[in-house]
Formats: sequence, structure tokens, C-alpha cells
Amino acid sequence: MNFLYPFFLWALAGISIPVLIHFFGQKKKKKIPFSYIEFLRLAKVKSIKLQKLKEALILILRTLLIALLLLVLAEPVTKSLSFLKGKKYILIILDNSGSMNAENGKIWEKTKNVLKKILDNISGNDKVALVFTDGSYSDFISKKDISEKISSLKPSYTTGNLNKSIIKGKELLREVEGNKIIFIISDMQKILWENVMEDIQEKRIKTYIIDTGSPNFENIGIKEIKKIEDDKYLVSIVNWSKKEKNGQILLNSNGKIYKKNFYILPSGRKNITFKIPTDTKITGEINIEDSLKDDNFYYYVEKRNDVINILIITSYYSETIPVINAIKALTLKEKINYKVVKKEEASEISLSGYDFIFIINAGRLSKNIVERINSYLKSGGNLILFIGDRDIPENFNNDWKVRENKFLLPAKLIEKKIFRKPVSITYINRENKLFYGIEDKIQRYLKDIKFEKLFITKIENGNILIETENGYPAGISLYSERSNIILFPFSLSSEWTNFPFKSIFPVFIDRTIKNLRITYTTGYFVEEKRVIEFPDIFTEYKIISPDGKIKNFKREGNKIDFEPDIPGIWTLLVNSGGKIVKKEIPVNINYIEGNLEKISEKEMKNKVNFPFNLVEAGKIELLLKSVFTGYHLKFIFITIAFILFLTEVYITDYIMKKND
Amino acid sequence: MNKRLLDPKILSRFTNLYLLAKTGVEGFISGLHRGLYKGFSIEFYEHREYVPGDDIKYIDWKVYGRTDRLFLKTFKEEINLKCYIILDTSNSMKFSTSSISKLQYGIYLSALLSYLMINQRDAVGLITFDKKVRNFISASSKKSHLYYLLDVLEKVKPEGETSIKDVIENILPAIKKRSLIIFISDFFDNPEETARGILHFKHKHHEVICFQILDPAEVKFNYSGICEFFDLENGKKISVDATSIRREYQKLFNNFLDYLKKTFIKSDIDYVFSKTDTPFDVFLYNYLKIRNRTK
Repeated sequence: MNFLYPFFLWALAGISIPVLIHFFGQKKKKKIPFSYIEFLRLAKVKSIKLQKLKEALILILRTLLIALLLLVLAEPVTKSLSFLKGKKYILIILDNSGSMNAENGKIWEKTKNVLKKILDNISGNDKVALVFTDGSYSDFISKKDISEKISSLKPSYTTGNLNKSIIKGKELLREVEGNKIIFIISDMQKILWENVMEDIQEKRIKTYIIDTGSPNFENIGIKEIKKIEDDKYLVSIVNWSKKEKNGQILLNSNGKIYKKNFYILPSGRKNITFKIPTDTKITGEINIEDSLKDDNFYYYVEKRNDVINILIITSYYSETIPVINAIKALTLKEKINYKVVKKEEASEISLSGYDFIFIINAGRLSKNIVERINSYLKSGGNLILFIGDRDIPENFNNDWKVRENKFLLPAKLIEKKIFRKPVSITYINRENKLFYGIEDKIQRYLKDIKFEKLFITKIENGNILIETENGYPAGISLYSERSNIILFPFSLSSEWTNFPFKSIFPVFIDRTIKNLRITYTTGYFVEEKRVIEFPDIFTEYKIISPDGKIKNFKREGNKIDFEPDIPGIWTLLVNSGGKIVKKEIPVNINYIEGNLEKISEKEMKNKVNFPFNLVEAGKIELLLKSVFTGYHLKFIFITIAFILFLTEVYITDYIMKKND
Repeated sequence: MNKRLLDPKILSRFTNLYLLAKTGVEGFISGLHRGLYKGFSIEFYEHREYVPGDDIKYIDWKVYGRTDRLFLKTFKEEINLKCYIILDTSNSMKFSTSSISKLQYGIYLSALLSYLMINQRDAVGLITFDKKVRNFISASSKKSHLYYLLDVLEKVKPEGETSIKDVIENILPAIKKRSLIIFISDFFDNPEETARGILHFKHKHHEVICFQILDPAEVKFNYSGICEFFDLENGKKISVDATSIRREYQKLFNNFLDYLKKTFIKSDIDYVFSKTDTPFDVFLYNYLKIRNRTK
């Protein structure tokens, strides 16, 4: 216990007042004649102990009473003086995830108010560091510098990573010496807190979590928009709240608005199909009053060209004949341009302008071309591989691997982490006895069923699976979020792998190109850094944000660290050898951020590895007093003093009555 | 009965003790005709008409049978029996917190009783004392004797300490004939010795009445705070917190009164105490009521 105004303690000398009264006050005696004092003498002897006890008790009570009142004036607090007077380092981890923008910004305003109040309680000597859940931070600086920043603070659009923020905060705290306090200000969104694994470690650092969230929410968001057929789009919506909702979805395609009403169950998901003419850009919007507006929008872009450029890489021209025949037989509206190059010439070719690259039994490819093909794929290209007898796994060495001894893939694509979603593929393994004579099976299958059904309807989790009805694969399609890789067994000399010579092959190629010629891009989220690779060296580039501003991002070679700050359709223009390549990227808010469900204190205790005090934003002032000045004890003292006073009155009154 | 005249405050205005005694007695005593003393004689003196309040055992039923009127038989020697009023005049008796002191109260009471007795043709003597006997006036039933007694009473001054035992030892040999002894005192002395001394009278076949006169402050002890009390008799001082000892004092004081009461009653001694703020009629009425019940 310490005192805010310790000079009042000098007045504690005042407790001598009752003592002095007690000892010297007795001298003022009334002199009274009395007839017979013997009874007085006897009464005095008998009551002397009680009297002394009473006097002592009253003396103690009065002394305590005065002492307590003086202590009240000195404002007793629970904090130590070293804490009160010492320099303090306050780490504030601020949740600036997208959910903090809920309720038309009210949550964020509340958060900023909490921040201001924390700063109001900090002295000029103290230092404050701000670490945001979107990864940004400021080192320990003065209260004044932080205060100036508050008004310009805005929530991000990201889901945020609290764990990383805690790690960063700990780093900052390690560099300073003094009294350390951690505040975490958050709306307590469950998805933010669920991944917190980091321990504060230093138990003596007190961690206060301030809940600025709203206990109730009603929120619906668009999960994604995707094309399911040429003129059909699927809009997936999620109801995060525990109430059923009615609303309306609007798709803005080429300036024309398409509307559909929907009804969605509590905590439900719904797919709504729109039949609209194919367009390159679509903006989806849910027209509903809900807690978070930002996730009511979704941006969709698909790439469509009037001319389809195909590059065929091979070792022998003769082996390309079935493919070229199939290309020539394409029934698409678009003009088809194709170019056949030997693999040795491929390194000279700019891959950027090609919509499809066919590699036909090319055997070993140079490292350079493999890398460029990888970049081509990462930037959203289509690769159709005909794995022939020369393309044994060993031929691909380190760059192409057999995954789990089952299928071939470019090594870099095997690394799952480069994809946002896990890759699921169906494979062909020529060594597997299942595939012996598979050609016959494929033939029979393709004769018996409609190819469209086989090919188009098999879109699962973003991957196009080419498989036979009985589960035997006819080929492999690997679909990442931005590219497609299709593998076919190819061997002109082998009966079962000479698929390109089959009469169905042109139809197959026709359907393949028809379905893959339109690419749509997903997986770009606001304020999330993604590396965009271009297969060719480019001289200059320009990135235009949805609001028309030109933005600069870090560039390294043919890679750009793309980190969009607002949702919408971003435009990338790259000058590659005089040829302008335009790429439109839809940037969305991760729909998960729309889940505003709060984590309970009980769940927090299970998840979080450090001790904390959870306080609602409304009680921040009380908390701050307890943190910075400790609990004020004066009301307790006043209460005790009052009780002592009543006790003294009671004792005195009791004794008086007893003597009456 | 005019109560106002018997209020000690009113009586204290009387400068003439005779007038006081006469007023007091005549004001209320009719009906208490039998008086204090029942008499020992068997020699018939005369008949007197019965008045309510007379003991019915002295009614002459034969006369009633003849005349249909109630007459009492009175006896000759009744008026010749002696009464001694022993009045404590020690310094403790001058203590006063009301209109009159205990001594004044005792003096008035003595005067009343003297008047009453002589009017009943009883012989009355007076002894005043503190630790010594200050006045010893032999009993006489002459009317002039009353004036003498009253004169002595008027001149009584409080002095000295109380020593009832010593005083009794001195006066006991002087009262040889069986008499009515009326003690008027606060009895602020050693209670055992006091009781023992008074019991000597009883042993000598005297009839004894003890009137204990107390000041209201002595009973209630309504003092508060730290007080220094000094004894009126011996000047000794004592400092006490009056508030805190009040209960204990009252307990001791009541024990003292109880002791006297029990001891006297046990020995067939009439005992009654009065506070100086109690009107005489109430005091005497209460006493006579007790006396009639017990005798």
C-alpha cells in the first residue's frame, strides 16, 4: 500500500490528540461534595478493570478513527512506489483486423477511445509501443507521439495474426528495462484468438485484455463467386450469425445489375446460381443491414482473349501431329494461334503471351525452361503435359519429382505451401497394374458416355479431375488457384498410351481448351503480401488500385511483392519486350473475417498460455486506475472509519446505559 | 389531606417548627388516630368513639350491643409510655441536592412525630448525635416539652462523623424503661455495626423504628464524567468516572439498603427509607401501612 499524497501522513501526529485527551483530559475534574464515599471507593475498585478496558478501547478506536481519516486524505493505493514513480513500458497490441470495422466503425471508435484512455493514464516519462495484428508496429515512443497517431488509425481488412503480434511485442519488450505492462485491445473475435500459442513467458508482466467487441452480431458475407459454366456463376454466401436472414444479392456485370433474393438459415451456407452473360469482371454485393459491411462485397475477374495462343514444346515434331490436328479441329469462336518449338528453342521464347503450353514427351528440360514454366504457372498459365516414354521420372531430376512414387509433378508445385488450397489430383502411374490396358478402358468409356459430363462436372475443391466413371483416371488435372496442369500418358509406341491417336482425342482437346481458356483468379486478399511472378523479364510495370491510384510495390527481378491495401480489382500492366501484358487481380476480404463470433473467457483460458485479466471496454477506467495507481483504498478506509465510529458510539452508549 | 402542605419544598418555608408540625400533623394524621404506639397497659381509661382506621380489636362489643354504636376502649398507661427520637446530625446529613437536606428532612420528621406523640399524650425524648451524643432530652408528655424539643431541633447543626455503634453504646444504659425508639439517620456507617447496635435496643425490649433518610442523588447517583468526590464527614477525596461506576455504585448501595432492611425486618424492627423529595404524607402513610400490616 502506498499513498498518492504522502505529506498528509505527517498529520498522523494528530492521533496523539485522543491520547492527550485521554491522559490529560482527566485533570479537569468536577469537585463534588458527597455524603458517603465508601460506596464510591468500592465501586471504583470493582469497576476499575472494566473502566480501564473501556477507556483503552475507546482510546484505540478514536486513535484508529483519526489515523484512518488521515490515511484517507493521503489517498492510499495498492501499487508500489517503485511502480508509481518508475518508468513504465506499455506494450499495446491492437487488433486491427477487418472485424474491428464492424457496426459502421463503432467498434473501432470504442477501441480508439480505450487506447486514448490508456494513454491518458500514462505519464510523460513512460513509453508506449503499438503492435497491430496486421503485422505493423511502432517501437517504444513517447505518449505524445502515439497520441498524434490515434486519429489516423484505421482497421485493416486482414484476418490478422495475434500470435505474431505477441511475438513481436515480446521482442520489443526484451529490449527495454523497467516496469512493463501489456494491453491487448481486441473485439475478441474467436478466429483471431484461436491461433494464439505464444506465451508471454515473463510472468511478472501483467497482461490486460480489453474487450471492445459487441456481444451480439448479425453478419452475412460472400465467400466466393465462381464460374460453373459458360454463362453460369455460383455465388456462395455464409451466414455467421445465429439468426435466419433474408436478403438480396446483386451482381454487377458490365454495368448491368442482376438481383436474386435469398433466405439463409442460422449459421448456414448457401449457393445461389446466376445465369448471366459471360463477363470479364463481376462485382457481387449482398444488400443487407448487418454488422460488417466489408465482407458484403466480392470481386471476380476472368481472363478472356479473342485470340488463344498455344505453345507446343516437343523433342520431335512428328509427335506433335495428333495434337496439332486436334488444335486445328477446335470449334471455338476465338482465333487460335499455335507455335511449335523444340525444347532447345523454348528458352528463347517469351512464355507470357501464351494461354496454353503443351509439352509433348519432351524428355529432360533445361533448368531455365523449367523455372520459367513454374513462373508461368504461378502467374496463371495452363500446362498440358503428355508424359511419354522419354519422360521417366529420372529425366526430371531435381526439378521434377515423383511424389510418393505415384505421379510426376514439377518439384516446386509439390510444395503445398505455394498453393493457397491443398492440391488434390488424380494420377496415372504406368507402373501400376491397374493401368495396364487402360487405353481400352478409356476408349470404351469415352464411347459410352458424353464427354462434357465427364469433363465439366468434375470440379471439386477447385481441381478438375479427369477420371473414369469407375475411378480409373484418364489423365491428371492439377488446378491451382491460378493455373492448370493436365497430364496425359503419352506413348505412340504403346497401345494403351497412344491416346492422341485415338479418334476421341480432338474432342478431348477441344473440351480442354474450351474450359481452360477462361481463367479466373482468386486467393488475393487485402493487406496480404503475395509474390507475383512473371515468366519473362520485364522492363517496367504499373500497378493501379481499384480507386485509380498508382501504387508502388517492391520488385525483385521478375517478381513483385504485391500487397494490396483495399479490396477491389487491381490492374497490373507489365511491359515485356515492348509487349504490354495486362493482368487484373480481384482482391477480396477473406470471408472468414466475417465470423464475428467472440471467444469466451473460458475458451480463452484454454487457448491462451499466459495469465491475463479480461476486462470489458466499459470498465476500462476502473482497470486503468487499478493498473497505474492500484486500487484506491480510501473508500475501504472510510467504511472502516465509519464502522469504528459506530462501534465507539455503541460502546459509549452501551456503557452509559449499563451505568444508568 | 392537603398534599401540597406536606411537600418538603412547602414545609421548608415554614420558619416556625411548631406551626410546621401542627400543620403537618393536623393536615393528615386524623384517621391514623392509633398513632405509632400500640401501648402496653391493661388498665381501662375511657371509651372513645370509633373512627375508621382504629384497630377493631379494641372495640367494646358490649357497648355496641347496648347502644348500636362503636366505642373503643382506651387504657390509662398508654399515654405514659416513652418514645425517643434519635436523630443523626452528622455531616453526611447535610448533603443536599434537592430543596432540603437530609438533616432538615429529619428535623421536620422529628417535629411532626413529636407533635403527634405529645398530642397522643405520649412522652417524647430527643437524642441527636454524630459520633457522639450531642443532645439528650429525656422523654416527657407535657405540652411545654414539645416547645423545648422543637427549640432544640431548630438549633441543630450538622457536625462530625457518624458512629452509630458508639452512640448506641452510650445512650442504651440511659433508656431503662421499655420505650419506642425512632432512629432517623442515613445510616452511612458500617452496616453490620449499625445493625448490631440497633439490635441492642431490641434486645432490651424496646420497640424500634428506623427511618432512613436519603438524598435522591445518593440513590440514583446521576453524576457523569470524571468527578472528584469529597466526603462531607471526613473530607477524604476520591476521583472516579461517575458514568462508568454508576452501575456498580447502585448495586453496592442497593445491597446496603437490602442488608439493613433484611436485618431489621428479621429482628422485628420497622424499617423504612425515604428520599428527601418524598412528601411526608406519602412517607408516613407508607410507613403506617407497613406497620399496620405487620403489627
